[in-house]
Amino acid sequence: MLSPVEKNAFEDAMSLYSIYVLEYGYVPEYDKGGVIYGAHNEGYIKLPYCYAVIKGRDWAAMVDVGYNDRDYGKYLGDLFNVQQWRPPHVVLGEIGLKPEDIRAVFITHAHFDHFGNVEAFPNATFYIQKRELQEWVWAMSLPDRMRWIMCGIDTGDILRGVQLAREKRLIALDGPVENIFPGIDLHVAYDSHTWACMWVAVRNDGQQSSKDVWVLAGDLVYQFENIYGSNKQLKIDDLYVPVGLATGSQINLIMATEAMMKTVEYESRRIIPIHEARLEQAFPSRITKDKLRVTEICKAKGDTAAVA
Amino acid sequence: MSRASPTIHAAACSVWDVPAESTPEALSAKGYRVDAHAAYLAAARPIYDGLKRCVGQLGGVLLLMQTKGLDRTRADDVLRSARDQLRELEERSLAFPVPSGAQPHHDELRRLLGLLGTVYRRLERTADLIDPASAELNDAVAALFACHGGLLAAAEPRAGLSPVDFTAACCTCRQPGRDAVAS
Repeated sequence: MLSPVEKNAFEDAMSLYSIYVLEYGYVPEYDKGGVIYGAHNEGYIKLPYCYAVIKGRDWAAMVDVGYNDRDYGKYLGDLFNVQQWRPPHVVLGEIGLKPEDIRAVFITHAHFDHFGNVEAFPNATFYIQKRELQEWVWAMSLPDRMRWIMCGIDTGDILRGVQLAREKRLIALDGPVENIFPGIDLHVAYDSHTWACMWVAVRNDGQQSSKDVWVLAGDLVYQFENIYGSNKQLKIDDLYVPVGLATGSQINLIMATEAMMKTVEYESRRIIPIHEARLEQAFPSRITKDKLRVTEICKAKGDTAAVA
Repeated sequence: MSRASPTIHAAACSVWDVPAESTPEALSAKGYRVDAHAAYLAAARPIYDGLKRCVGQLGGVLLLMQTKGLDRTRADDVLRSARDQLRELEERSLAFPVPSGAQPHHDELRRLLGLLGTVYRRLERTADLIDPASAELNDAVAALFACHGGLLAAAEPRAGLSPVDFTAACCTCRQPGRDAVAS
Protein backbone atom coordinates (compact mmCIF):
# COMPACT_ATOMS: atom_id res chain seq x y z
CA MET A 1 0.00 0.00 0.00
CA LEU A 2 1.46 3.37 -1.03
CA SER A 3 1.36 6.33 1.33
CA PRO A 4 -0.34 9.48 -0.06
CA VAL A 5 3.08 11.05 -0.67
CA GLU A 6 4.37 7.96 -2.48
CA LYS A 7 1.13 7.74 -4.40
CA ASN A 8 1.46 11.37 -5.54
CA ALA A 9 5.05 10.80 -6.61
CA PHE A 10 4.08 7.67 -8.52
CA GLU A 11 1.21 9.44 -10.25
CA ASP A 12 3.37 12.46 -11.11
CA ALA A 13 5.82 10.17 -12.87
CA MET A 14 3.02 8.99 -15.13
CA SER A 15 1.12 12.26 -15.60
CA LEU A 16 0.44 14.00 -18.89
CA TYR A 17 -0.18 17.39 -17.32
CA SER A 18 0.79 19.56 -14.42
CA ILE A 19 -2.23 21.27 -12.87
CA TYR A 20 -2.02 24.49 -10.89
CA VAL A 21 -4.56 26.64 -9.13
CA LEU A 22 -3.45 30.26 -9.23
CA GLU A 23 -4.94 32.90 -7.01
CA TYR A 24 -5.30 36.31 -8.70
CA GLY A 25 -7.06 38.19 -5.91
CA TYR A 26 -9.17 37.57 -2.86
CA VAL A 27 -11.90 38.85 -0.61
CA PRO A 28 -10.61 38.64 2.96
CA GLU A 29 -13.98 38.23 4.60
CA TYR A 30 -16.80 36.79 2.54
CA ASP A 31 -20.19 35.87 3.89
CA LYS A 32 -20.15 32.11 4.45
CA GLY A 33 -23.79 31.97 3.39
CA GLY A 34 -22.71 32.92 -0.12
CA VAL A 35 -20.46 29.88 -0.27
CA ILE A 36 -22.43 27.24 1.58
CA TYR A 37 -26.13 27.08 0.91
CA GLY A 38 -28.07 27.86 4.08
CA ALA A 39 -25.07 28.93 6.17
CA HIS A 40 -26.82 32.06 7.36
CA ASN A 41 -25.17 34.13 10.08
CA GLU A 42 -22.23 31.76 10.32
CA GLY A 43 -19.63 34.44 9.85
CA TYR A 44 -17.09 35.28 7.20
CA ILE A 45 -14.35 33.37 5.42
CA LYS A 46 -11.56 34.21 3.02
CA LEU A 47 -12.67 33.78 -0.59
CA PRO A 48 -9.82 33.52 -3.09
CA TYR A 49 -10.39 34.29 -6.77
CA CYS A 50 -8.47 31.73 -8.83
CA TYR A 51 -8.08 30.16 -12.20
CA ALA A 52 -6.60 26.78 -13.03
CA VAL A 53 -3.81 25.99 -15.45
CA ILE A 54 -3.35 22.64 -17.21
CA LYS A 55 0.23 22.57 -18.41
CA GLY A 56 1.46 19.98 -20.86
CA ARG A 57 4.93 19.50 -22.29
CA ASP A 58 4.61 22.21 -24.95
CA TRP A 59 1.07 23.34 -24.50
CA ALA A 60 -1.02 24.99 -21.79
CA ALA A 61 -4.71 25.53 -21.19
CA MET A 62 -6.68 27.32 -18.53
CA VAL A 63 -9.96 26.87 -16.81
CA ASP A 64 -11.46 30.39 -16.73
CA VAL A 65 -9.57 33.67 -17.00
CA GLY A 66 -10.71 35.81 -14.08
CA TYR A 67 -11.76 39.40 -14.58
CA ASN A 68 -10.07 42.55 -15.75
CA ASP A 69 -9.46 45.00 -12.99
CA ARG A 70 -9.31 47.93 -15.37
CA ASP A 71 -12.99 48.64 -15.95
CA TYR A 72 -14.51 47.76 -12.59
CA GLY A 73 -11.56 47.48 -10.29
CA LYS A 74 -12.20 50.50 -8.18
CA TYR A 75 -15.88 49.82 -7.91
CA LEU A 76 -15.28 46.18 -7.03
CA GLY A 77 -12.54 47.11 -4.64
CA ASP A 78 -14.73 49.60 -2.84
CA LEU A 79 -17.81 47.43 -2.84
CA PHE A 80 -16.44 44.02 -2.04
CA ASN A 81 -12.98 44.71 -0.74
CA VAL A 82 -11.29 42.57 -3.38
CA GLN A 83 -7.60 42.72 -2.59
CA GLN A 84 -4.30 42.00 -4.30
CA TRP A 85 -5.74 41.66 -7.79
CA ARG A 86 -2.87 40.91 -10.13
CA PRO A 87 -2.90 40.61 -13.94
CA PRO A 88 -2.37 37.27 -15.71
CA HIS A 89 1.20 38.00 -16.76
CA VAL A 90 2.16 38.36 -13.11
CA VAL A 91 0.10 35.42 -11.87
CA LEU A 92 1.12 33.03 -14.65
CA GLY A 93 4.73 34.15 -14.32
CA GLU A 94 4.82 32.33 -11.01
CA ILE A 95 4.74 29.02 -12.88
CA GLY A 96 6.95 30.13 -15.74
CA LEU A 97 4.19 30.89 -18.24
CA LYS A 98 3.07 33.98 -20.12
CA PRO A 99 -0.52 34.72 -21.20
CA GLU A 100 0.69 34.26 -24.79
CA ASP A 101 1.52 30.62 -23.98
CA ILE A 102 -2.12 29.75 -23.31
CA ARG A 103 -3.64 27.92 -26.29
CA ALA A 104 -7.05 26.96 -24.94
CA VAL A 105 -9.37 28.27 -22.25
CA PHE A 106 -12.38 26.39 -20.95
CA ILE A 107 -14.87 28.97 -19.73
CA THR A 108 -16.94 27.20 -17.10
CA HIS A 109 -19.60 29.92 -17.15
CA ALA A 110 -20.12 33.51 -18.19
CA HIS A 111 -19.86 35.32 -14.84
CA PHE A 112 -17.54 38.30 -14.95
CA ASP A 113 -14.96 36.74 -12.62
CA HIS A 114 -14.52 33.74 -14.95
CA PHE A 115 -15.07 35.18 -18.44
CA GLY A 116 -13.98 38.74 -17.80
CA ASN A 117 -10.43 38.93 -19.05
CA VAL A 118 -10.32 37.24 -22.45
CA GLU A 119 -8.30 40.01 -24.08
CA ALA A 120 -5.32 39.13 -21.89
CA PHE A 121 -4.85 35.86 -23.81
CA PRO A 122 -4.15 36.75 -27.44
CA ASN A 123 -3.34 33.25 -28.66
CA ALA A 124 -6.06 31.28 -26.91
CA THR A 125 -9.20 29.71 -28.28
CA PHE A 126 -12.08 29.88 -25.82
CA TYR A 127 -14.63 27.11 -25.27
CA ILE A 128 -18.00 27.79 -23.69
CA GLN A 129 -21.39 26.12 -23.82
CA LYS A 130 -23.76 27.47 -26.47
CA ARG A 131 -26.69 27.29 -24.08
CA GLU A 132 -24.82 29.41 -21.55
CA LEU A 133 -24.61 32.19 -24.15
CA GLN A 134 -28.16 31.76 -25.45
CA GLU A 135 -29.75 31.97 -22.02
CA TRP A 136 -27.74 34.96 -20.89
CA VAL A 137 -28.74 36.82 -24.03
CA TRP A 138 -32.35 35.98 -23.29
CA ALA A 139 -31.90 37.03 -19.66
CA MET A 140 -30.71 40.44 -20.80
CA SER A 141 -34.02 41.06 -22.44
CA LEU A 142 -35.77 40.74 -19.10
CA PRO A 143 -36.79 43.80 -17.13
CA ASP A 144 -34.83 45.31 -14.32
CA ARG A 145 -36.98 43.82 -11.62
CA MET A 146 -35.78 40.43 -12.78
CA ARG A 147 -32.17 41.51 -12.82
CA TRP A 148 -31.19 38.91 -10.24
CA ILE A 149 -31.18 36.45 -13.14
CA MET A 150 -28.58 38.58 -14.87
CA CYS A 151 -26.28 38.78 -11.90
CA GLY A 152 -22.59 38.77 -12.57
CA ILE A 153 -22.93 39.33 -16.31
CA ASP A 154 -20.95 42.12 -17.90
CA THR A 155 -22.25 43.28 -21.26
CA GLY A 156 -18.66 44.21 -22.07
CA ASP A 157 -17.75 40.53 -21.93
CA ILE A 158 -20.50 39.79 -24.43
CA LEU A 159 -19.07 42.39 -26.81
CA ARG A 160 -15.57 41.02 -26.41
CA GLY A 161 -17.06 37.59 -27.10
CA VAL A 162 -18.35 38.88 -30.45
CA GLN A 163 -14.83 39.87 -31.40
CA LEU A 164 -13.45 36.50 -30.35
CA ALA A 165 -16.12 34.68 -32.32
CA ARG A 166 -15.33 36.70 -35.44
CA GLU A 167 -11.73 35.64 -35.10
CA LYS A 168 -12.89 32.01 -34.70
CA ARG A 169 -11.46 32.05 -31.19
CA LEU A 170 -14.75 31.48 -29.36
CA ILE A 171 -16.20 28.02 -29.83
CA ALA A 172 -19.74 27.45 -28.61
CA LEU A 173 -20.12 23.81 -27.62
CA ASP A 174 -23.34 21.91 -27.69
CA GLY A 175 -23.06 19.62 -24.66
CA PRO A 176 -20.24 17.60 -23.15
CA VAL A 177 -17.09 16.83 -25.11
CA GLU A 178 -14.78 13.89 -24.52
CA ASN A 179 -11.09 14.30 -25.30
CA ILE A 180 -11.35 17.90 -26.41
CA PHE A 181 -7.62 17.60 -25.96
CA PRO A 182 -5.94 14.32 -25.11
CA GLY A 183 -7.19 13.18 -21.72
CA ILE A 184 -9.35 16.27 -21.14
CA ASP A 185 -13.13 15.96 -20.98
CA LEU A 186 -15.66 18.78 -20.67
CA HIS A 187 -18.84 18.04 -18.73
CA VAL A 188 -21.94 20.19 -18.34
CA ALA A 189 -24.24 20.77 -15.38
CA TYR A 190 -27.35 22.36 -16.85
CA ASP A 191 -29.45 24.79 -14.81
CA SER A 192 -27.16 24.61 -11.84
CA HIS A 193 -24.88 27.48 -10.77
CA THR A 194 -25.70 28.94 -14.20
CA TRP A 195 -27.54 27.76 -17.30
CA ALA A 196 -24.85 25.48 -18.66
CA CYS A 197 -21.98 25.38 -16.23
CA MET A 198 -18.97 23.30 -17.27
CA TRP A 199 -16.57 21.22 -15.23
CA VAL A 200 -13.34 19.81 -16.54
CA ALA A 201 -12.03 16.30 -15.98
CA VAL A 202 -8.36 15.64 -16.65
CA ARG A 203 -7.53 11.96 -17.10
CA ASN A 204 -3.92 12.45 -16.35
CA ASP A 205 -2.75 8.98 -17.31
CA GLY A 206 -4.46 9.42 -20.68
CA GLN A 207 -6.42 6.23 -20.16
CA GLN A 208 -10.10 5.97 -20.96
CA SER A 209 -10.76 4.16 -17.70
CA SER A 210 -8.44 6.40 -15.79
CA LYS A 211 -7.19 5.89 -12.28
CA ASP A 212 -5.72 9.39 -12.21
CA VAL A 213 -8.59 11.81 -12.80
CA TRP A 214 -8.63 15.39 -11.53
CA VAL A 215 -11.81 17.43 -11.67
CA LEU A 216 -11.65 21.21 -11.96
CA ALA A 217 -15.05 22.11 -10.65
CA GLY A 218 -15.47 25.76 -11.68
CA ASP A 219 -18.13 27.30 -9.48
CA LEU A 220 -20.11 24.08 -9.07
CA VAL A 221 -18.06 23.55 -5.93
CA TYR A 222 -16.65 26.60 -4.15
CA GLN A 223 -15.04 24.99 -1.15
CA PHE A 224 -14.49 21.63 0.57
CA GLU A 225 -17.74 21.93 2.53
CA ASN A 226 -19.73 21.73 -0.71
CA ILE A 227 -18.41 18.17 -1.10
CA TYR A 228 -18.34 16.97 2.46
CA GLY A 229 -20.41 19.36 4.46
CA SER A 230 -22.46 18.70 7.50
CA ASN A 231 -25.90 19.41 8.77
CA LYS A 232 -25.97 20.36 12.43
CA GLN A 233 -29.72 20.00 12.76
CA LEU A 234 -29.78 16.52 11.25
CA LYS A 235 -26.43 15.62 12.84
CA ILE A 236 -25.18 14.37 9.50
CA ASP A 237 -21.59 14.69 8.39
CA ASP A 238 -20.30 14.10 4.90
CA LEU A 239 -23.11 15.28 2.75
CA TYR A 240 -23.08 17.43 -0.33
CA VAL A 241 -24.14 21.02 0.32
CA PRO A 242 -24.75 23.24 -2.71
CA VAL A 243 -22.94 26.52 -3.26
CA GLY A 244 -24.77 29.61 -2.14
CA LEU A 245 -25.64 30.86 -5.62
CA ALA A 246 -27.70 28.96 -8.16
CA THR A 247 -29.34 30.48 -11.21
CA GLY A 248 -30.74 26.99 -11.69
CA SER A 249 -31.45 24.57 -8.90
CA GLN A 250 -29.75 23.17 -5.84
CA ILE A 251 -30.81 19.72 -6.93
CA ASN A 252 -28.80 20.07 -10.11
CA LEU A 253 -25.80 21.23 -8.09
CA ILE A 254 -26.05 18.13 -5.93
CA MET A 255 -26.36 15.92 -8.99
CA ALA A 256 -23.34 17.62 -10.55
CA THR A 257 -21.34 16.96 -7.38
CA GLU A 258 -22.34 13.32 -7.52
CA ALA A 259 -21.30 13.11 -11.18
CA MET A 260 -17.90 14.57 -10.28
CA MET A 261 -17.49 12.21 -7.35
CA LYS A 262 -18.34 9.27 -9.55
CA THR A 263 -15.74 10.41 -12.07
CA VAL A 264 -13.02 10.41 -9.39
CA GLU A 265 -14.34 7.16 -7.90
CA TYR A 266 -15.39 9.02 -4.75
CA GLU A 267 -11.87 10.16 -3.90
CA SER A 268 -13.04 13.65 -2.95
CA ARG A 269 -9.60 15.30 -2.81
CA ARG A 270 -9.50 14.94 -6.59
CA ILE A 271 -12.27 17.49 -6.97
CA ILE A 272 -10.61 20.89 -6.94
CA PRO A 273 -12.74 23.74 -5.60
CA ILE A 274 -11.63 26.99 -7.16
CA HIS A 275 -12.63 29.35 -4.34
CA GLU A 276 -11.07 27.23 -1.58
CA ALA A 277 -8.54 29.02 0.65
CA ARG A 278 -7.44 25.76 2.27
CA LEU A 279 -6.03 23.94 -0.77
CA GLU A 280 -2.68 24.22 1.00
CA GLN A 281 -3.90 21.59 3.45
CA ALA A 282 -4.22 19.05 0.68
CA PHE A 283 -1.60 20.07 -1.88
CA PRO A 284 1.87 21.64 -2.04
CA SER A 285 1.62 25.40 -2.27
CA ARG A 286 3.41 28.66 -1.62
CA ILE A 287 2.56 32.31 -1.16
CA THR A 288 3.97 34.78 -3.70
CA LYS A 289 5.42 38.18 -2.92
CA ASP A 290 1.99 39.57 -3.84
CA LYS A 291 0.45 37.47 -1.05
CA LEU A 292 -1.31 35.21 -3.51
CA ARG A 293 -1.24 31.43 -3.35
CA VAL A 294 0.14 29.08 -6.00
CA THR A 295 -1.07 25.51 -5.52
CA GLU A 296 0.32 22.54 -7.36
CA ILE A 297 -2.35 19.90 -7.76
CA CYS A 298 -0.14 17.48 -9.67
CA LYS A 299 3.02 17.54 -11.67
CA ALA A 300 3.64 16.13 -15.13
CA LYS A 301 6.42 13.76 -15.83
CA GLY A 302 9.60 15.79 -16.19
CA ASP A 303 8.10 19.09 -15.06
CA THR A 304 9.90 21.07 -12.42
CA ALA A 305 8.14 22.01 -9.22
CA ALA A 306 6.67 25.52 -9.16
CA VAL A 307 6.03 25.62 -5.45
CA ALA A 308 9.39 24.59 -4.03
CA MET B 1 -48.88 41.93 -21.51
CA SER B 2 -49.58 41.84 -25.18
CA ARG B 3 -46.38 40.35 -26.46
CA ALA B 4 -46.30 37.08 -28.30
CA SER B 5 -43.43 35.80 -26.22
CA PRO B 6 -44.42 34.94 -22.67
CA THR B 7 -40.92 35.69 -21.42
CA ILE B 8 -40.27 39.19 -22.69
CA HIS B 9 -42.16 42.11 -21.26
CA ALA B 10 -43.76 44.85 -23.29
CA ALA B 11 -42.06 48.22 -23.11
CA ALA B 12 -45.00 49.72 -21.23
CA CYS B 13 -45.17 46.91 -18.66
CA SER B 14 -45.04 48.14 -15.07
CA VAL B 15 -42.16 45.82 -14.26
CA TRP B 16 -39.83 48.35 -15.88
CA ASP B 17 -40.55 50.90 -13.17
CA VAL B 18 -37.83 52.43 -11.04
CA PRO B 19 -36.45 49.94 -8.50
CA ALA B 20 -37.21 50.93 -4.92
CA GLU B 21 -33.56 51.59 -4.07
CA SER B 22 -33.41 54.28 -6.73
CA THR B 23 -36.39 56.37 -5.77
CA PRO B 24 -35.57 60.02 -4.96
CA GLU B 25 -36.24 59.32 -1.28
CA ALA B 26 -33.86 56.37 -1.22
CA LEU B 27 -31.18 58.35 -3.06
CA SER B 28 -31.52 61.27 -0.65
CA ALA B 29 -31.01 58.79 2.16
CA LYS B 30 -27.81 57.63 0.44
CA GLY B 31 -26.35 61.10 0.56
CA TYR B 32 -27.54 62.83 -2.61
CA ARG B 33 -28.41 66.01 -0.78
CA VAL B 34 -29.62 68.05 -3.72
CA ASP B 35 -33.20 66.99 -4.28
CA ALA B 36 -33.11 67.88 -7.96
CA HIS B 37 -30.12 65.62 -8.51
CA ALA B 38 -31.68 62.76 -6.59
CA ALA B 39 -34.86 63.13 -8.63
CA TYR B 40 -32.83 63.27 -11.84
CA LEU B 41 -30.87 60.11 -10.99
CA ALA B 42 -34.05 58.28 -10.06
CA ALA B 43 -35.53 59.18 -13.42
CA ALA B 44 -32.30 58.41 -15.27
CA ARG B 45 -31.86 54.95 -13.73
CA PRO B 46 -34.41 53.22 -15.99
CA ILE B 47 -32.84 54.91 -19.01
CA TYR B 48 -29.41 53.69 -17.99
CA ASP B 49 -30.63 50.17 -17.24
CA GLY B 50 -32.51 50.07 -20.51
CA LEU B 51 -29.41 51.13 -22.43
CA LYS B 52 -27.40 48.47 -20.65
CA ARG B 53 -29.93 45.80 -21.52
CA CYS B 54 -30.09 46.93 -25.14
CA VAL B 55 -26.30 46.78 -25.49
CA GLY B 56 -26.41 43.25 -24.06
CA GLN B 57 -29.26 42.16 -26.29
CA LEU B 58 -27.89 43.59 -29.51
CA GLY B 59 -24.37 42.38 -28.71
CA GLY B 60 -25.79 39.03 -27.71
CA VAL B 61 -27.59 38.56 -31.01
CA LEU B 62 -24.33 39.30 -32.82
CA LEU B 63 -22.52 36.84 -30.59
CA LEU B 64 -25.04 34.08 -31.23
CA MET B 65 -24.90 34.83 -34.92
CA GLN B 66 -21.15 34.39 -34.94
CA THR B 67 -21.22 31.22 -32.83
CA LYS B 68 -24.08 29.67 -34.81
CA GLY B 69 -26.22 29.63 -31.71
CA LEU B 70 -28.97 31.86 -33.02
CA ASP B 71 -32.50 30.66 -32.49
CA ARG B 72 -34.40 32.75 -35.04
CA THR B 73 -37.63 32.98 -33.07
CA ARG B 74 -35.95 33.96 -29.87
CA ALA B 75 -33.66 36.38 -31.69
CA ASP B 76 -36.69 38.08 -33.19
CA ASP B 77 -38.20 38.39 -29.72
CA VAL B 78 -35.00 39.84 -28.35
CA LEU B 79 -34.69 42.32 -31.22
CA ARG B 80 -38.33 43.34 -30.94
CA SER B 81 -37.88 43.84 -27.23
CA ALA B 82 -34.82 46.03 -27.90
CA ARG B 83 -36.74 48.06 -30.48
CA ASP B 84 -39.64 48.65 -28.09
CA GLN B 85 -37.31 49.53 -25.28
CA LEU B 86 -35.39 52.02 -27.39
CA ARG B 87 -38.63 53.68 -28.43
CA GLU B 88 -39.84 53.81 -24.84
CA LEU B 89 -36.49 55.05 -23.54
CA GLU B 90 -36.47 57.80 -26.14
CA GLU B 91 -39.82 59.06 -24.85
CA ARG B 92 -38.93 58.66 -21.20
CA SER B 93 -35.63 60.47 -21.61
CA LEU B 94 -37.54 63.62 -22.54
CA ALA B 95 -40.15 63.34 -19.84
CA PHE B 96 -38.33 64.53 -16.71
CA PRO B 97 -36.56 67.71 -15.64
CA VAL B 98 -32.79 67.82 -15.97
CA PRO B 99 -30.96 70.10 -13.54
CA SER B 100 -28.22 72.14 -15.16
CA GLY B 101 -25.46 70.21 -13.40
CA ALA B 102 -26.78 66.95 -14.83
CA GLN B 103 -27.17 68.21 -18.39
CA PRO B 104 -23.91 66.65 -19.69
CA HIS B 105 -24.92 63.33 -18.17
CA HIS B 106 -28.32 63.51 -19.78
CA ASP B 107 -26.80 64.50 -23.10
CA GLU B 108 -24.59 61.43 -22.94
CA LEU B 109 -27.56 59.14 -22.31
CA ARG B 110 -29.36 60.71 -25.26
CA ARG B 111 -26.28 60.25 -27.45
CA LEU B 112 -26.10 56.57 -26.48
CA LEU B 113 -29.76 56.14 -27.31
CA GLY B 114 -29.12 57.51 -30.78
CA LEU B 115 -26.12 55.27 -31.25
CA LEU B 116 -28.05 52.17 -30.20
CA GLY B 117 -30.87 53.10 -32.54
CA THR B 118 -28.35 53.06 -35.37
CA VAL B 119 -27.10 49.63 -34.34
CA TYR B 120 -30.65 48.31 -34.10
CA ARG B 121 -31.44 49.49 -37.61
CA ARG B 122 -28.31 47.70 -38.84
CA LEU B 123 -29.33 44.55 -37.03
CA GLU B 124 -32.62 44.49 -38.86
CA ARG B 125 -30.57 43.50 -41.88
CA THR B 126 -28.99 40.48 -40.26
CA ALA B 127 -27.93 38.97 -43.58
CA ASP B 128 -25.24 41.65 -43.81
CA LEU B 129 -23.86 40.75 -40.41
CA ILE B 130 -23.28 37.03 -40.61
CA ASP B 131 -19.98 37.22 -42.44
CA PRO B 132 -17.31 37.72 -39.75
CA ALA B 133 -15.38 39.99 -42.09
CA SER B 134 -18.28 42.23 -43.06
CA ALA B 135 -17.85 45.98 -42.80
CA GLU B 136 -21.42 46.25 -41.51
CA LEU B 137 -20.50 43.98 -38.62
CA ASN B 138 -17.42 46.07 -37.98
CA ASP B 139 -19.54 49.19 -37.69
CA ALA B 140 -22.13 47.52 -35.47
CA VAL B 141 -19.52 46.13 -33.09
CA ALA B 142 -17.65 49.43 -32.97
CA ALA B 143 -20.88 51.26 -32.16
CA LEU B 144 -21.74 48.80 -29.40
CA PHE B 145 -18.29 49.16 -27.88
CA ALA B 146 -18.74 52.92 -28.04
CA CYS B 147 -22.06 52.54 -26.22
CA HIS B 148 -20.49 50.34 -23.61
CA GLY B 149 -17.73 52.91 -23.13
CA GLY B 150 -20.38 55.58 -22.79
CA LEU B 151 -22.16 53.53 -20.14
CA LEU B 152 -18.93 53.20 -18.20
CA ALA B 153 -18.42 56.95 -18.39
CA ALA B 154 -22.00 57.68 -17.33
CA ALA B 155 -21.99 55.18 -14.46
CA GLU B 156 -23.09 56.41 -11.03
CA PRO B 157 -22.92 53.18 -9.01
CA ARG B 158 -24.14 54.74 -5.76
CA ALA B 159 -27.39 55.56 -7.49
CA GLY B 160 -27.65 52.13 -9.09
CA LEU B 161 -26.36 53.28 -12.49
CA SER B 162 -23.78 50.52 -12.88
CA PRO B 163 -22.73 48.62 -15.99
CA VAL B 164 -22.64 45.33 -14.07
CA ASP B 165 -25.06 44.36 -11.38
CA PHE B 166 -22.97 42.81 -8.63
CA THR B 167 -25.69 42.61 -6.05
CA ALA B 168 -26.08 38.87 -6.47
CA ALA B 169 -22.85 37.90 -8.15
CA CYS B 170 -20.18 35.52 -6.90
CA CYS B 171 -18.96 38.25 -4.60
CA THR B 172 -22.28 39.37 -3.26
CA CYS B 173 -21.49 40.03 0.32
CA ARG B 174 -20.97 43.33 1.95
CA GLN B 175 -17.95 43.35 4.17
CA PRO B 176 -18.71 43.23 7.88
CA GLY B 177 -19.22 46.69 9.19
CA ARG B 178 -19.08 48.23 5.71
CA ASP B 179 -21.87 49.94 3.91
CA ALA B 180 -20.51 50.08 0.41
CA VAL B 181 -23.31 52.26 -0.88
CA ALA B 182 -22.81 55.00 1.64
CA SER B 183 -19.03 54.77 1.84
